[in-house]
Amino acid sequence: MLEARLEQAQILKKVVEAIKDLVQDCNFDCNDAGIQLQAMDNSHVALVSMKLGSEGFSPYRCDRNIALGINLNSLMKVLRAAANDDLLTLKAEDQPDSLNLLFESSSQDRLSEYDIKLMDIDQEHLGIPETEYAATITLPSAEFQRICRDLSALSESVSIEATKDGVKFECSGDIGNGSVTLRPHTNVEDDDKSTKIELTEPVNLTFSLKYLVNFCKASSLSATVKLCLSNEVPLLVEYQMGVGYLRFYLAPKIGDEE
Amino acid sequence: MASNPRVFILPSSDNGDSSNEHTILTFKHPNTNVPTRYLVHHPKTSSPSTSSSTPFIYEILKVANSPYAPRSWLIAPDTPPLSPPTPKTEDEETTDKEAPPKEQEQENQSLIIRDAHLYLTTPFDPLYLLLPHLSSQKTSRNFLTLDDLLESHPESTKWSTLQSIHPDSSKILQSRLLSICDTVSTGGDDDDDDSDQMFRLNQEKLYTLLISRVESVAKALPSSLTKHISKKLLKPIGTQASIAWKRQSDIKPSGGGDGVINDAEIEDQDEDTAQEVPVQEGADSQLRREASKLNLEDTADMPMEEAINIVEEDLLPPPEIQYICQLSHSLQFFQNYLPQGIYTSLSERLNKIHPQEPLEKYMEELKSLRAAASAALDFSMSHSKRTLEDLEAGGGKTKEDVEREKKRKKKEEDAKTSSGVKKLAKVDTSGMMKMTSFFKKKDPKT
Repeated sequence: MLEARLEQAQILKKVVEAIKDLVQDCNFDCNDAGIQLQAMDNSHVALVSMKLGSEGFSPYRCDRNIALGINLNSLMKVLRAAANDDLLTLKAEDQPDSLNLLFESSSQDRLSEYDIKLMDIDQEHLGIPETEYAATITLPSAEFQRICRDLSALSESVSIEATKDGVKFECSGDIGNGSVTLRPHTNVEDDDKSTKIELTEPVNLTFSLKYLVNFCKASSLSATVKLCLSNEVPLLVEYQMGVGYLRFYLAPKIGDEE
Repeated sequence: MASNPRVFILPSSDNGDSSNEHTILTFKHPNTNVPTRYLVHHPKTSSPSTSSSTPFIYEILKVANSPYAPRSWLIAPDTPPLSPPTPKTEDEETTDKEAPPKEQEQENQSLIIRDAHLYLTTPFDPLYLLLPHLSSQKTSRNFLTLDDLLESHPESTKWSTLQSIHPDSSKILQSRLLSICDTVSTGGDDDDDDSDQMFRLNQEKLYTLLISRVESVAKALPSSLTKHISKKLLKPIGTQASIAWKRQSDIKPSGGGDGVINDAEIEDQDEDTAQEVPVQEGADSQLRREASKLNLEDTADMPMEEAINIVEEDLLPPPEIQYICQLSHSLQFFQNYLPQGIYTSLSERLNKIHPQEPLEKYMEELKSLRAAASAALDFSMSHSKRTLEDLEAGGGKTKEDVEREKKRKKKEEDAKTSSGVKKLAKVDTSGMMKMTSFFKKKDPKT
């Protein structure tokens, strides 16, 4: 039996909004630690990993491990019915064939209740080891979104080059080329607007812009985004949610530059 | 009249000149309440054979001329040649219609009537005219003599005219009323005295009469109509595919007739509802392929029409179902002549005697069969077209088949896929390794 109450429906709304364009169906794995999700896109070159810790819910109750197989498009349809600051309660049986969602409006006395049919999804879980990345860049999520959007107008892929001096996003396409360079700086008033670069060695990797633009849909979840790069390892794009995280992994393009 | 002649087929009379025996009276239509003209036939010489069944009121039916195929009547006096007067029209097809009455007494005066409408007069039971009044609140409770009844009728003047022009009518009316009314005779002295009998509508008698009429009409429906009715109830798979199926069941002696098909298709349907899409498609396409193969091999050596007939006989619904259908059709005819209240209770009573359930059940079954068959038929149509184009292509999976399946799969997915996922599918992922090459699979239990 799962019963989890989220103070603000918008957290789940934004998470689903961010990943529904990457993944079609996926399992929400519920256990006593919280709700987790891991799924790959259809081409298996990107992976999304999400965790909403049990502390983010009040109350949170999950007696047994439950996998809720959901079509994200369907889930989004239901979540759109919730206002951002509604109280959201998720309920499911131990062997559920549907997930119950209850939206409570705090200001008005309005209760809406939905059931979503669940599906059996055969999903393999990948073990993601803790990795020491060569470069870790923290920047405002809006900035990252803007860079990706601007460059995607020119090209399919972007090379991210991290050096001591800064991080350079560079692309070239049929109509020309472009680049954006961010130098590390600290905003004293608002740390969220700072750009930080931690580097053990310089890296230069190329990624598909379409995927990055897709990841950026999670920008509303967090003011900052963390990019972690290492050679021969997927890029990690992480959005912190306070009560959990939303991480995207993307395989680098190899042999594209030659 | 003379200025605007019309062609009527009138009830025949014993003596030759019948022109003075017909009067047209207007009564309110029992169903619609619209004043409607009825023809009253009143032979001058009251024949002793007048019985209760002798019709005297006739319904006037107009067989209208189609505006799309304009015709006209040519009426010629039947003088020198003894050939029967035939209405000649622009179109030869109508010559087999009955002769118009000899209204043209002037010799050698042929006549053309512009509108080729034909007016038919068919016997009409006066009971239908009396029914609305008989069943009304006022009269249904009390016993009334015929005269009182007619006098209290809203159209009493019409009835008195009728009695004056056709004295026998009250006798006939009384005998007609006997079949649906309880009677009490007041005088008791003489049975022949008409005025002594008093009538009150008996619902049981009325409905027994009506139901027996519905039944006899249902049994006597013209074959053109019954064919039309049963065609609607035909099981699906009408043409190419059905032959293939039939053939298939012939080949397998164990399979019983078209039961083979039906079972297969019902299974098909079940799988569909269970949402086992891949399995369903597999089975489906396999069935189709078989059908198409047989289609190619076998149909050639059997005359097409013969084959179709065999199949159609097999596909006909069981006779009891056909009968229920015919009943409901014949009931519809009665709807035109009965007040709404009587009609509804008549249909209720009829349903009790001849329950509709088997038909409904059959229709349900038919629906599912048709749904299953339409897909197969669809395929076989396109397939047969193709085979005409290139016979040598053989009975394998055609390109169209593959495309169709692809399209269907796509449609199913589209409903559940967001636009973003679709866009990502187009992204060039060359040079990108799979996630599984970076991260190893975990134990499912962690």
